[in-house]
Amino acid sequence: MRPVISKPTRRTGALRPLNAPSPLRIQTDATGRVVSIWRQGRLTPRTIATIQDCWRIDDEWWREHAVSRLYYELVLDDGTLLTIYHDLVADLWFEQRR
Amino acid sequence: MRRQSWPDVRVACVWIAQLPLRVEILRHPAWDGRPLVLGGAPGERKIVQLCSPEAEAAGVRAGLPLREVVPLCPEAIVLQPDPVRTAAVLESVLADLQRVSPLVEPGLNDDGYLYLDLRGLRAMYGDLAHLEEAIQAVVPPLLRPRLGFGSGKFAAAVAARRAAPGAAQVVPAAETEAFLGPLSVRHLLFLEPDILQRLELLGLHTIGELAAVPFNAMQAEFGPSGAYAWRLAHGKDTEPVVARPVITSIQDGLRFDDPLGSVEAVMAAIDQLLAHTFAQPALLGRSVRQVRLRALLSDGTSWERQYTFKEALSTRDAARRALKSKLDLPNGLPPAPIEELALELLGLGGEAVRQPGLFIARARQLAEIAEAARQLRARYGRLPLYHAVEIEPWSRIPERRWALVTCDL
Repeated sequence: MRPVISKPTRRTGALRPLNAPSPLRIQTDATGRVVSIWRQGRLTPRTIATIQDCWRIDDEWWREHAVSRLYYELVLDDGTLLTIYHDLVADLWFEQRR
Repeated sequence: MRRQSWPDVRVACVWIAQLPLRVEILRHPAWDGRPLVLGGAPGERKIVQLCSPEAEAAGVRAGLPLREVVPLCPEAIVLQPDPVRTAAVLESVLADLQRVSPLVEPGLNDDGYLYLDLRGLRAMYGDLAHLEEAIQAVVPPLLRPRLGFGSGKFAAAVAARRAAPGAAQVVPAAETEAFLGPLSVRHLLFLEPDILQRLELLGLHTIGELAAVPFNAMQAEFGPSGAYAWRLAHGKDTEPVVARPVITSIQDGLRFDDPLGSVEAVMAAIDQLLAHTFAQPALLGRSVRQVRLRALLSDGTSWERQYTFKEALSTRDAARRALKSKLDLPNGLPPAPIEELALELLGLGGEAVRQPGLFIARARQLAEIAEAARQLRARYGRLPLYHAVEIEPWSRIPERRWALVTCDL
């Protein structure tokens, strides 16, 4: 797996991207629809109550590592509002604030 | 103007001309008809601020040095401003007029104008003459109130100015233009003096001449003021009567057998008043932005000051310190000993609204941050403090827009 962005280093003077995505595990149903997510550092997965919005970003296709993401804005069963995306190039899932 | 039982009028204006002088006459009825002159307060310029018609007849004019008053009019009674009593009388008249109409608006700067919204009052009074009687009944006759009834505030105010003292003039809506037409443009009190001068230079001496100018020309030449004046000249006055907003305040007062003259004595009295006012339940958990002090003085005059603090104060001690700094200033104390002192707390807000200075203490803040940074570096071996900087704010990829850069402290 190639991370979408490299892990920030802690060197003095280095740039740390704000709002960096964090990896996420998902579960889908038989139709391929995401039904629950398991966020990094959490003990249990959470069920998705509703998907409020969905949009796609395709960018930097002229570079070596193109960006192609499918974003979802979700409401979890505990009421948490969350934005996640599916990295369509690497086939990985991430959580990221808008 | 012919009076109908209830002509088409929407606003009544009560005008008390020369309000400060009429308030003095209310206190000393024997002075009615005598030449009265209002001079400046101690510390102000020694000139005539206002004079009664009797003093004017002897040649006294506003702006005249006070030392020239006695040679011109030896029997003149020269008075000092008494803002507390003037405001109290106006307040009392306003409160009484609110029993006649629920919507009463005081004019600006205590100029003696009070506007009443007449809508809906016909059902109560039936005849305009009855309403006029009701208004006259609540205003002390010694104040010589003049009444004007009109389709708007402007027409009503001009009608009041044209009425005889103690009498009324009615200008129905249909007659507004004809009534205003022959009058001087100087009745448009809201116009700046330079605009009035330019109007007269253009040969527009009366409101009727102004009304004859096309609207576009007035607006182009004089801007919004010109447009507003043109509308008023045509009787198009839609400005509503706005009741004075209710201002929450907490007040208390003290009367002294031995008048107070020193800062220490006044501060002791203020301390007592602050203790009473800050102990009131209405002030629990709240802060104060303004304090008004009003005093009746041993020489028969009054004194009033309103102080606005740089930040909202929520404790009695803070208010005391702030007031002491004001009273310690030159001319901070009243010019004569205080017989009666009232303290009013205004601008009440929640304690949470206190706003510490962001930039004033910047040097101190930087020193505190530097000390915090030193401790963090000692604990973690590096400095985990960053600046947020824009990188590609236009990027569609969220993590490309902003980045953190290590601070150098």
